[in-house]
Amino acid sequence: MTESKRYIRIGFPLGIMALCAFLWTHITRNGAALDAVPSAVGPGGWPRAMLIGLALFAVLALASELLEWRRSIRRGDAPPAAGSEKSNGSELVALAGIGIILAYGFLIPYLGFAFATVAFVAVWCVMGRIRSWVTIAAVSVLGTLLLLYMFVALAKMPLNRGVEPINGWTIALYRLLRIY
Amino acid sequence: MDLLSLFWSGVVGAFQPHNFIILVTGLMVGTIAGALPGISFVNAMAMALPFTYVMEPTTAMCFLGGIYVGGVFGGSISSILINIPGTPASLPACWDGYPMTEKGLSTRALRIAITASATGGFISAILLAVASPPFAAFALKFDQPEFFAATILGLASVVAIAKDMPVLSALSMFLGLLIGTIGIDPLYGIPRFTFGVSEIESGINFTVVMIGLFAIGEVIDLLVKHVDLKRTFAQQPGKQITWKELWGLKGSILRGSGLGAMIGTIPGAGATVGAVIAYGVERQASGRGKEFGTGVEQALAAPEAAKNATTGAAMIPLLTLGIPGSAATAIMLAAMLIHGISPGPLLFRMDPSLVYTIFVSMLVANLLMIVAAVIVARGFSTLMRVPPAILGAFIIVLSVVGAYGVRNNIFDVYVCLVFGVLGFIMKRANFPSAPLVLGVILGPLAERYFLTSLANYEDNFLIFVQRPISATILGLAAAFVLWSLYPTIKAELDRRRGASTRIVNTRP
Amino acid sequence: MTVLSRRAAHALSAVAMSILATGLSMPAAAQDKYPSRPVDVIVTFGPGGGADLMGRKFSQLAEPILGVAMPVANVSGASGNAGLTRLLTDAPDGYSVATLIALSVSAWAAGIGNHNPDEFAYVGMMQSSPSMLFVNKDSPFKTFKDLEEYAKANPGKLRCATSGFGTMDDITLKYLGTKGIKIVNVPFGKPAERYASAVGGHTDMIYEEPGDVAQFLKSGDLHPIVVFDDARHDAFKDVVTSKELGLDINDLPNFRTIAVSAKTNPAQVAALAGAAAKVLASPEWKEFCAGTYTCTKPLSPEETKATVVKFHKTVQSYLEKFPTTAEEKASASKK
Repeated sequence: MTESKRYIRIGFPLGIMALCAFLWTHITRNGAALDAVPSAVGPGGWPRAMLIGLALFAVLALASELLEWRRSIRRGDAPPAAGSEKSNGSELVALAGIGIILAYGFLIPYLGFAFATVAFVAVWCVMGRIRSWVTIAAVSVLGTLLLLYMFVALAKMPLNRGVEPINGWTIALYRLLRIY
Repeated sequence: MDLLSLFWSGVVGAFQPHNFIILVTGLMVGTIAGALPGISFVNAMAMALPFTYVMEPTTAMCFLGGIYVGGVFGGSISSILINIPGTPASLPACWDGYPMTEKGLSTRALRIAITASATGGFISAILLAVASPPFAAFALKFDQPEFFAATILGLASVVAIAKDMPVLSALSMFLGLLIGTIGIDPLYGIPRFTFGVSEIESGINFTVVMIGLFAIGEVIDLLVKHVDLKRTFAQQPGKQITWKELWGLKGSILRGSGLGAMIGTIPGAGATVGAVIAYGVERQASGRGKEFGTGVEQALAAPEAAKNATTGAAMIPLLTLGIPGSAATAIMLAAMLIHGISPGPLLFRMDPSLVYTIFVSMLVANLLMIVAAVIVARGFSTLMRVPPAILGAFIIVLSVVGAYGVRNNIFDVYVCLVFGVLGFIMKRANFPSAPLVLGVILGPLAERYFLTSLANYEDNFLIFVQRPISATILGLAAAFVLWSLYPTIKAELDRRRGASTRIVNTRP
Repeated sequence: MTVLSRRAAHALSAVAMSILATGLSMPAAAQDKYPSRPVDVIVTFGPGGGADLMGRKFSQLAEPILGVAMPVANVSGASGNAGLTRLLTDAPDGYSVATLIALSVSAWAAGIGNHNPDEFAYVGMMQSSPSMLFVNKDSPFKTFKDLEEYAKANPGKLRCATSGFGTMDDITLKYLGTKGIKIVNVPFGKPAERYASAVGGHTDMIYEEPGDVAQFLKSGDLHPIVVFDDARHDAFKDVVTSKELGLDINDLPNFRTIAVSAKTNPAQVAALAGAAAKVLASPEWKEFCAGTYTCTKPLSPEETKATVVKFHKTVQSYLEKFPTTAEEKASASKK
């Protein structure tokens, strides 16, 4: 087991325990409303039971993780050297990938689905070490067109068209493609 | 309608040109996706979900059923040819399938795998068609306490099946259960955990969580690992296998099929569990246990049969009770709900032709799978040349469309992306993510059944053990949990005892 | 990459440029005629329910009248308020319409969804039907009188399947409680489970509008014993009304309207209202509303709005009378 993995596995239950403690007092915005419901369990009972269960297993997971850690130290397992984690470069890639995906989702309502998707596919291909600009352009534009026909023309999904003036551009694009 | 005419309506439904073409398409898509390392049949089904929004409910189920059947097999192609399991369920196929390839017997190995899988799947589909209608008729007697008990059984088996890490699975499951409580409560209309954000009032949709965890999380992982799929491999024709030799494997195939079908009906278990258990059992039963891992044909046939034998069986609880036991069946549930169909005992009375079309198309899918598998195995080397980046980009776009399409709400896309990131982190830390999804799905069901049971039976908390059927199901759930805890407790006790004599834990 | 595909890529980028160029000049030209592009129909509930059927039928029949496509999108959640929020955040250009039904309005009164009737302009009243109590075919109660006598003799023994607390269902049961007819409210989150409980005999009765259980009425699994209305329903002439029984809870109809944002250009609302009137007059619609027991007399946009406003006030006053939660109790006592 690598060190970073160990930190996640210890940090995760700890974070969950903190979360449970916080949520316990924030089930609803008006806590009094929960207890006044004329029922044995009411809307608060089930979430409370789930919080207890979650906290309980977080404690158990933490305990077994710490035990395992202590055991591995006793056995004298040397912690793997940092160099053996050859994922140093890919951590950056992962973060960048996550950032791009989140940005894509966030930008859809503003840029509209069509333009955001062309941009996203192109950027993702660049990230994925595709160096041919022709391939990138063809894949992003043709792929998006295909998706537009599939989901806007055929499935009639109300995918975001973006804010003005992009809304107008998207409508023009749809007209050009005979979708509208 | 009598049984024969019902079955005939299923045949007519399954062989309608568009249903049939879609079924074949699904099989091809599933087999290809399964064969691509990093993309499992669950990913493929999650990606296919937005396409089903356009289809008729029957067609949608044919499509997903095809992907499911094809995808569960497809993973074995890459297991056998390049020693990378295309899906987790195909891991056992690496252990004895790849050694056969090394000996120059790849075609022979593939043929054994295909035959065993198709047989297992077909037996399972027959079980589905034969066992579900009577079970659904029985389930009509179920009232809310029984449904509550069945949901608890599902949750218990999620933890019980994960024998190697029950605590982490339970943790993940409770996280899912907690996520399931977000939003307006089902009875009083009081918003919970919303912090005043109105979009959360309608709750976190399980489909969105599932797409995020299974599709987006995988793609980030794919980008990071940058698996070199262009690895060269030799696919020699090798020694062909004859029908007679295949017949000689019937024992292993039948054992695997039986085990797989049994495991498939248990909510929470799935193709992976079925295949691994069948491998272990076959090691004992075949009498060649010591040679396992060197390319033993029985060791390949049994888990392959078991893996596909879970497919039909897993749909029994989904169709008869409306309780999905695995990620794949949960996606099928999502597709049905999108079309306004709620599976459950009433479905067999209200829409029997849909149910029987599903039965027949599952039977047909397992036969046609042989053709799809052979085609994909032939074109495997070409397939490996598709750049993973392009694949990944479109998986993400389709995930976004799929998440958006559930309620046509952009907020669901944000939720999906957040769960994608969470899925990636969980994958990195070896936290199981499937229990979380099942928690999100089963949690709201369990709560509703629980509260409605209480309202219907004068707040009597003992009602769940007073009614015979629900008491039996709950007893089964308890037995499951105890059975799963036994090895952990025993190992701990042994370790305590053994610590004095300094027996070193030799577990790898 | 071959020369051919390179040329194709050039062609593609040329197309993309021309799209952008025409796009900039399009919006002005598009406003001349209404409607000149597809009108999105937002159905505020999931597929398969009453609102979904209504929205889809409306779009199907209004398409030829308006001459544009009217794609239906289900935007469900928060008692229909997720879809209404979507309607109000879309541009108020007349290209988004939504279903707005009684359930959503009663939810506003109960504090779900921050909307009020003035935020919308109403295209028309499409459907309306009273709620009824239905019993299983094997039920010992053949008439409401049987049920009333049993309930008075055995308070709290009878169970009614409803859609939840704080809803019109709950209000009605609480009202009956004040008249000595004490019935336990058994809420079911999912309609299918609600119907299954009544059909399977796990509950004694179900509160529902007839259209939603039409298939069980036709199959004979359920039959009505009382209609909560002033007059008898045309399709159920032998079912007694609550008014005849001396019960004063006749003002909670299940209506369904089509609405747009209040900021929409009045000329566009009028165009839509004209189309809705034609839809309502069509034989297809008449057949549809008869099958779902929801035929209602056509109302103008203003009359529709007045109906919605009145209903909102009615539900508010009922909820003050029968508070569900501490929060509401507190606010009720303050007033």
